[in-house]
Amino acid sequence: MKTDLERRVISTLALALGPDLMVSIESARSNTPAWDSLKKVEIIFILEEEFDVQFTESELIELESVHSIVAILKDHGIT
Amino acid sequence: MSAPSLLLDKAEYQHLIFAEKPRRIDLISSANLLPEPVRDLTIGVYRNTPFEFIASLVPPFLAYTHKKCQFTFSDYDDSLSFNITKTNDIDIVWLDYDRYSLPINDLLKWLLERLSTLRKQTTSSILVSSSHQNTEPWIEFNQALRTSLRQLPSVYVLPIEEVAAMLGLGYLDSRFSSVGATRISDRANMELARQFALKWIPAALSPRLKAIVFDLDNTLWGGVLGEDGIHGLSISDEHRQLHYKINELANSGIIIGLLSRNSPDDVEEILNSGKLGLDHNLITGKSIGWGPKSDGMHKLAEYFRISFDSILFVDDNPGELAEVGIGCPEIHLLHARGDSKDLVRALDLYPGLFTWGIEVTDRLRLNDIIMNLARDAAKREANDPVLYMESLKVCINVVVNPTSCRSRLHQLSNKTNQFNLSLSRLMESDVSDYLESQEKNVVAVWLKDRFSNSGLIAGIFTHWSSESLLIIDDLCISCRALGRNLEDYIVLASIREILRESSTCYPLLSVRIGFSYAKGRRNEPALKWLSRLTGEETGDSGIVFLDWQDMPVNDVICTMPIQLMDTFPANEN
Repeated sequence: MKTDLERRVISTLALALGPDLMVSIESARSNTPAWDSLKKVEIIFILEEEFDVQFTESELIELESVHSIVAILKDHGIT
Repeated sequence: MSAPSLLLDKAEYQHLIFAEKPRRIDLISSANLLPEPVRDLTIGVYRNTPFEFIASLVPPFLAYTHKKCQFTFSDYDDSLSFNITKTNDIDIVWLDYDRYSLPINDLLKWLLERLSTLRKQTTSSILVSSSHQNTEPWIEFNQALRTSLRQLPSVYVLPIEEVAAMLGLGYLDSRFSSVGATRISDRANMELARQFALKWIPAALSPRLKAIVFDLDNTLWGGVLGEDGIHGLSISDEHRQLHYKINELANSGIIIGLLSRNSPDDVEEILNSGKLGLDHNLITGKSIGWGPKSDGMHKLAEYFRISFDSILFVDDNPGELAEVGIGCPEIHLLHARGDSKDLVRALDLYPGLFTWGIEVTDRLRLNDIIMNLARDAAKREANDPVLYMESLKVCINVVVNPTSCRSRLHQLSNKTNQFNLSLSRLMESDVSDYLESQEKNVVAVWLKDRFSNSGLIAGIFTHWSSESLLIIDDLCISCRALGRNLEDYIVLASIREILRESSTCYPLLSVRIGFSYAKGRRNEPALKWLSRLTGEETGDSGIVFLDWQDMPVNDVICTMPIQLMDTFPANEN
């Protein structure tokens, strides 16, 4: 069962990636062609806005999948 | 969707786009709130740094102006080689100046050469980024860039340094240098996208709005004047900041009007009370009473001599906005919801209010409207039309191909509605062509009388179709010059001047004049004038011919008591 945080991250990514794409807990840059380098930056912008956080430079590099996004948000105290 | 429903949806949408800090999520989620935009713009971007993060945010802001856009991006190219494959509506040159190691003067010289090349290859409007830095030598660079680019038609320097100054340290975010190859923060991306969509793109494509009309109660102050009385109203510092903003807009040439359901005496009392930050001398017209606001707006538009699509109406009441919107088609509407700070921001951002530079003619327009009252009084006093004309002490200057007036002639071609024969809406590059080409000519006409100096009020664009056929491609007379029965004089004096200039090239015997025309929504005055002059009815479009020798030149020019000069007026260059 997905947690609230996972659901929020998935719906945020769905907004960013567009209505034609199905985003799931397993979605990642490696398996989502639309999630290219430009889209990655936009996703970061939206995540920082939605969750009111500021990622570090090293965290920015790691934000490549739903799992990694959830993990990093948890590190920021988001549940 | 019904008109009231659309108006109210737009009022709701405006609060997203005019918010202090718009949110990406809100903009993406609200994408379907407004109907599908009607106009598709093509925008080319020539760059040496990413523009995509700004471009992705432009569409939701642009939707407010009923437009959508398609961006095409060049490769990252420091050399700006401009591989032009098509003409766009707008071309943007977006540069990170820190990538260049040239001395500043060399950089400026190189950039001007590149932009001159781009100008020759395309007829689009060109927007060039300034440096974002507010320190020397970049302040001087930006100033020099603006000054130098005035020579090129339809090339505008974006005030990036103003956006950077507004955001301060928040303009840049070095975290994204490695991830996104950009140093511009998301906050800056958002603000730049907003400025592009709401201010810069509209200013590059369309004439400026001419007037803003304000409601009073709960718009310019808190409370209802008729219920709370002058002493019961709330006039905060924020309200006064709004009043100062209105003064600023008036001084930039925007006509300011007031429209309110109130007692005229009460309104005069508060305007003269000194309680407001509003300079009541800058208010050009008022419609205060108890009838429908749309009726009041009709009266103001007639008094200002402008059409509804040039007017922005501001009111706190959505119902009143809807009523005026239905009764005054194509009028612009702004909902004054929230506090006055929000309204100040909305007035700063509203599409059609930004201008690349304050035109002297905008201020002249205000003066003309006021002086029309004095002229009307003089007309009533003088029963004889010739005596009336004599009393006005009219002076007209007619100059052929004044290259220094390119910008104003371009403005006339695009902003004149009522007295515009063929509605050509020339680009600035087209005007340059008329000014410089051997076979083409353009006449500029200045007008003043004892009441006011109206400035440059007419442009007549012509070309020689053959040795004996002069075609008037377009004829634009500003509405500020109408109402004094000077149209015949202006046109005949202008044509005579072109014939004089051309007399060494073409013989003047048997010259025919062809007037091109096209019927539009609002240029009936021009078409009626043409029918009267030529004795021919006009259709939807075409050319009407008249022999020069049959035109009432002597009757008009020689008998009217007008001082006619073929030189620039004093204080013009």
